[in-house]
Amino acid sequence: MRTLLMVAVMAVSGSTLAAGAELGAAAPDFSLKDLDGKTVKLADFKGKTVVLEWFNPECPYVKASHTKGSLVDTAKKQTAKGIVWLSINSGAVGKQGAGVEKNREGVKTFAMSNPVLLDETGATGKAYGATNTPHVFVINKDGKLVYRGAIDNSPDGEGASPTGGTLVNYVNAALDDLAAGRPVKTNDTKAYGCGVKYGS
Amino acid sequence: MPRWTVMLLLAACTQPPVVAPPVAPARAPEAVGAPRVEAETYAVTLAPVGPYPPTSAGEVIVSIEARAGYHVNADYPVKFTTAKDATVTFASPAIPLRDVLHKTPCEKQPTEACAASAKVPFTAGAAGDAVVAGTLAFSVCSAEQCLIEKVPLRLTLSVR
Repeated sequence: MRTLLMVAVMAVSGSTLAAGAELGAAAPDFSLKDLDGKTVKLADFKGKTVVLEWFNPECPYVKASHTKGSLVDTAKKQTAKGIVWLSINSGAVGKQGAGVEKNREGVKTFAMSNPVLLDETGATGKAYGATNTPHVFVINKDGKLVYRGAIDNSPDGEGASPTGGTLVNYVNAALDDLAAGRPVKTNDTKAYGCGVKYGS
Repeated sequence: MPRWTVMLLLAACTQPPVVAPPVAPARAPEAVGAPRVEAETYAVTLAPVGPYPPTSAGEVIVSIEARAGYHVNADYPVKFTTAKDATVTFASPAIPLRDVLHKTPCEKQPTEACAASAKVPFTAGAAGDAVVAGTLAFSVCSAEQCLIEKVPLRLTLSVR
């Protein structure tokens, strides 16, 4: 009995980053503030396809992807098709790229038109299992997680070193599958980039 | 002739002659890169592994040493992009090195690499001095941040 209790305690106190959101399961809801202080919830977008992009404007991989790589104009093109694209910064206060001003600057530098939400406690990042910036999650219209992982297969962020020789934008591919009514073919890849700057 | 005109003419005559600025002597374009580049967070080196017989296969060793609490980012696609003025022949313009890196673990953090090296193969040309040159793209990370670096390296070899 004591052993069982100890195992239970260890499980509860273990890292909440370990599991993350499960593919095929309901995506964790969240309520976060955007850079204007407005509250944005995942539940606001019920019935829509949602892309969550973990973001840090000072991460060199994010900079590369937003200026030369697969994130250039991707959010804009997908938003024009009715996809909801939300960038989330789970950096704790004082960490690299955290805070309203740095993210406002990032939005301007990268000409972003989608909202950036601040998750300073890291609760949402940990609920999803976000480990890197960028790290992308795609949620289908039924609210289920259907893709998690890298934006593409070029871990330099620039799209210049694709594994296997051909650049693949995994998020665009997942969204194309969804639009065609197909299961997402590549639904789980290893994210690359800077570590998410959690507080603890 | 009015006095002011005379005075103007006299003033013009007494001006010192206009001297053209000295022309800098012509010189060869400045070489980009060096065999070793050091910075706060890294040092990178391009080192010879001779001898280099003419028209034969050869290689150099490119090395990355992380410093100041940084480690080599093993996930980054380390790449040597050859320079146009290199005088040896490489197999391709961009040589991926990530999968052939020999990594040295950090003393205090053995799961991370504090140094890495790889061979860069080429074919030498005719006898004489040869230039191996290119840009090494790599990344180093600390607990706080990752940096992506692109450093030009250049080495002159003796092919004989």
